[in-house]
Amino acid sequence: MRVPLIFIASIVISGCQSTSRAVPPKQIEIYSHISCSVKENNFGDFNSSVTLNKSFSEIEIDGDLVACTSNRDNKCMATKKVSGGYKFYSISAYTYKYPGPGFIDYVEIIDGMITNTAYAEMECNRI
Amino acid sequence: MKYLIFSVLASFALSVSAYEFEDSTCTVVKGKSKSSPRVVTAIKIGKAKNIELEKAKKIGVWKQDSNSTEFVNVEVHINDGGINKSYYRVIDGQLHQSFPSRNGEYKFRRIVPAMNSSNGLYEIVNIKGSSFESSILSNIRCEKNLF
Repeated sequence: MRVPLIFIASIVISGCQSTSRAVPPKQIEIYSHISCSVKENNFGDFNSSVTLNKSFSEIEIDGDLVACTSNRDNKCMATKKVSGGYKFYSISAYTYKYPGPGFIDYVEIIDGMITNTAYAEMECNRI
Repeated sequence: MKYLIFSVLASFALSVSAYEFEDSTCTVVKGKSKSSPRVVTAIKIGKAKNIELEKAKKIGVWKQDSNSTEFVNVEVHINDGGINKSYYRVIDGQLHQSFPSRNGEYKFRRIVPAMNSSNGLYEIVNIKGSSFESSILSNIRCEKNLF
């Protein structure tokens, strides 16, 4: 009697184990910012981390706060004045999963010329 | 006679700098993302020549902050069979263009030739108003005197 009981119990336990799935960690519900770091450079070499506010109206990059000129569709376009020209950013960030995907398109125009470009995949999380 | 030969040689040396990228043909090796369209099939770079900036205004808009008067003719072959011929300004060994485009856009182009290496660059950037609009970024590989 004991042997069939152990057999049935092992089937039940193994069955339960096979139906249970590992739940991926979720993004936090209450957050004010999204923090993104470079996962892979697809073009050029970009290594700065970017923090966006929740409403995609402002980013913090290289220690500077820069206003987003457009904030449609989880995207921020930002322009930063530097000596002799500008740095242009187009940043998209999604946080429906943990970590969420993001992309940064970057161009530096100095003295009326392209001086640096990059395109990178990022990992983004709510903070 | 010696003076004449020297002066001819000197004027020739002043008028033309020899660049490794002259008479080279380049291929796009890869774009910035897998979904980037492959539009450009070949980039052919001609010989650099000196053109006074006043005369160069007839062949383009040159707003780069540079004293360079060296220009090079570039043919960009695209996959519908078309060929875009235009001059680029040679600045520090790189080729540059920048000009107003349509709908308030400003377009910048840069070619950084690299011989026998896939590290060359062909970049097009569109700025609309004061914001980033789009970019086409490609790595290119160039071969000298291919055909």
